[in-house]
Amino acid sequence: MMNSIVTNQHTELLTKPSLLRIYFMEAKCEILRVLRTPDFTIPALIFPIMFYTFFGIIFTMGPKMPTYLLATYGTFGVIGPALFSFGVGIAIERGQGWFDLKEVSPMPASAYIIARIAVTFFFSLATVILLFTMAAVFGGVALFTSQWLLLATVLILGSLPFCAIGLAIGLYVSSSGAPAIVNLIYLPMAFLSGLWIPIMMFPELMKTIANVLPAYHLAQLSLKVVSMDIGDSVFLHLGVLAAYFILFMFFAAKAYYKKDKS
Amino acid sequence: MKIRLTIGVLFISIFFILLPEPSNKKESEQITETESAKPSHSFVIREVRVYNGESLIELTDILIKNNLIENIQKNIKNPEQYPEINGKGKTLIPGLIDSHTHVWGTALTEALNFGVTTELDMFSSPKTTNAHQKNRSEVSHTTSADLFSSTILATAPNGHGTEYGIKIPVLTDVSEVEGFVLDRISEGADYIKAVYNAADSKLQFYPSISREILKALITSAHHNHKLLVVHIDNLLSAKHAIEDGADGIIHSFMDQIIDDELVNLMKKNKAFMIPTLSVSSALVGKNETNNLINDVHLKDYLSPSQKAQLKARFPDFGIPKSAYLNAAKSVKKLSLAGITILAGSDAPNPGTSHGISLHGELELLVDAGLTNEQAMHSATGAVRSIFPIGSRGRIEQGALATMILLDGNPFTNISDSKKINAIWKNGTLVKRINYPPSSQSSNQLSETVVAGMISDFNLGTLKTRFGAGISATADHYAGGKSISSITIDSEDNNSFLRVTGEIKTGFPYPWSGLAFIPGKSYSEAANLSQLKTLIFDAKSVKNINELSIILFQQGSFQPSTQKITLSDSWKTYRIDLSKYTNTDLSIISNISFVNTLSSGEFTFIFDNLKVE
Repeated sequence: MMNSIVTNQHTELLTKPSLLRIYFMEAKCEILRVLRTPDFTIPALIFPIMFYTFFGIIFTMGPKMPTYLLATYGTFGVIGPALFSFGVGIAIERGQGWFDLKEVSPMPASAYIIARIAVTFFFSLATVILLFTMAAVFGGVALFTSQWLLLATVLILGSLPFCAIGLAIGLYVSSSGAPAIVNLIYLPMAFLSGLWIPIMMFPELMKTIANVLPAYHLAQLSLKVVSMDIGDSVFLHLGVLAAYFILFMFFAAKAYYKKDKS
Repeated sequence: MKIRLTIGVLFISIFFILLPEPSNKKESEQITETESAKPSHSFVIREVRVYNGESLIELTDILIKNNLIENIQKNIKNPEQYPEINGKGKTLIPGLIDSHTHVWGTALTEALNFGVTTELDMFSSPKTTNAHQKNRSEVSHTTSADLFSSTILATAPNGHGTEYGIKIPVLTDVSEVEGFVLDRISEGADYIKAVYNAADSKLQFYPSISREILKALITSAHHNHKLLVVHIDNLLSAKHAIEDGADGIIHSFMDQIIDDELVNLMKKNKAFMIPTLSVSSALVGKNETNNLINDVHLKDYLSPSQKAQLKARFPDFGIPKSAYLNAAKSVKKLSLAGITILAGSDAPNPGTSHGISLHGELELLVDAGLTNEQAMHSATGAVRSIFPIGSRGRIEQGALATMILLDGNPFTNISDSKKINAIWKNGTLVKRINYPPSSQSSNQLSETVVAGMISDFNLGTLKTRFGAGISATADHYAGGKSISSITIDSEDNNSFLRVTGEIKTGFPYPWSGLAFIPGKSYSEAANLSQLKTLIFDAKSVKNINELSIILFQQGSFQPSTQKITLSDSWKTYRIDLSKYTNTDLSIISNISFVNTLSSGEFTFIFDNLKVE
């Protein structure tokens, strides 16, 4: 068994490297790196859970509140890792020169991106599991298994546009400025999208503003799973999220090639 | 690595399987589990006219098997030899639905006694309604009507709905709306009811929620997938409600006839109306309930307390009788425009009672201009097309057999709805409760009072010769702020009562003073029908020149009042009991001597209460 793997690896090295395998190895390494730096990982995970516990469970305002806030804090929880892992992570690696090293290595650039997406998904999954556990055990939230699963799927896949936003930030901004910029986007957007306080409690003007924010649309999609959304079409929300994804991927690509030339 | 991955996937799968699911899976409104129905009933009705809630089928057979409607067609075979009922000349209609009631006590049993098998409650405490709401999904639930409820209504502080003495949450700001709606839903509300009066409408009986709050309520109810119905009492408020997207309005307003603008808007929005003509006619003092009380087909099934409810009258609000015509004409206009009208009685308001008043409502709807078929539809199939009430209101294959067999044909004569031959609830024949007319059971229950002194208070006690004694009374018992206290004073060896109180605003009809309970307890009534006059001495001490003497009749919530003018010296007052018209003197539960007028602190003294 062991032998066969070794020989396989050997022959692969000699012949042609498998793209899938590169993706897998890079993702695995990145996840391992995250797991081995708990001083960053743990606080990042605790943050949304703590918020949810305070506002969704302890100071809850009504019997349906824990369910509502599970969807919105879930959104809050998955956006964070996406923005930070990409935005701050890439900026720092650029600052350290690690990014350049990876660029000149034979590994395709796509592996780098995919590994980061894997890290984000891994992070999101951990957040979702923790949040769901809190909601189910202490918040008294009860959903059909199909709803739990769909909510988890929406949240995890929904982090993709924010990966794109993070990527663009990470490529544009310097390592020292990135954390500040990311926080400046993350926290106000979370608030204005009704992730902390239900959007119905906002004055009209703020409700209108929320419509342009991607986090609002992801939150509405999550709320739709538990039938507590404001009632707009799924396609509207998906459309806005897709538009954000494409727009920021475009920015990211521009930034990447510009850096190449310089 | 593979093993670790497998463990990870396994862990996540187990996690999601372990997450809790809602315990009561969404109530399946269509009850089909006949296994739970015990005993189960099967029978055939032959050659009967069937109204299925939407259309009329002449001379058909209908097979009920294990409580469910199995087949409706001519010449049904009956190999199982189920009992057969000859339906010739009779009409089979779905169990009737009263779309506007308030439910407590024995309401739902009373309703079923008159063929009303479903009631839509439009404001009651969830404590009362929840048990009933649970029952409605039980096939074995056959002794009272099924209940759907809005639970607590949405109103402003001191708004309509707050005057009944139960503390309810009120709305002052748009930000409270979503929480309010979610709370109602978690309390079991099947739909949301709001009370609204436009700020610029002429009549302002009570404070109202703002239009912004109304809008927010409508939005919130809708995105929580609930209907929102609005209580209104004038055209302007109705327009606001419909413009803002309310699903329906309650009460055909009496200030003017509905205009074309609102009719068209309701048509466009597919909005509905529950006119509650029964209560409108009671409000203007149209005395039509005697027809119901004395109806040969109904009177034997009327309990004494229901009779009292029908006899009870609203206080005179000064609304001209002609105002009722506005309400009736609006109903006609709406029905001609094809707008859905639902029959609702608003029982048990004064002049209405559960079950029986729906038959009265059907007649009023036909008088207003609905066809007989439209009227029957308004209490059956039409309700189902609007409210989520399952298969109720229809006679159709697969539905539970909840239906009424009538001797006669309400499609030619609407009053034939009263000629009930049989009522089935969930396939079970309902045993109607019969009140023999001779027994006068209410009078036997309440103690008969004979003439004499009730108390001269010289014993220094608030106890009385009969009854549960005298106590202080004020509107703070009902949620108001007025207060009252009684002390026993004496002067020249004569003891009397000194009543001190304070009328504070904050209640629709404030009162403060003393109450005499003639029955053995607060809940028992006394029979005063042998008496003619109530006599007492009284004197104004401070800030009171009018005293109201209010008689409360058991089972009624609207007392009747006589007023006297107090002077600054002792005087003997004689109250002619026969002047309390519309009050059944044989069941009096409370006689109150109260200040209802001057605000602020007041004092009067009171002595020698007797009856002749």
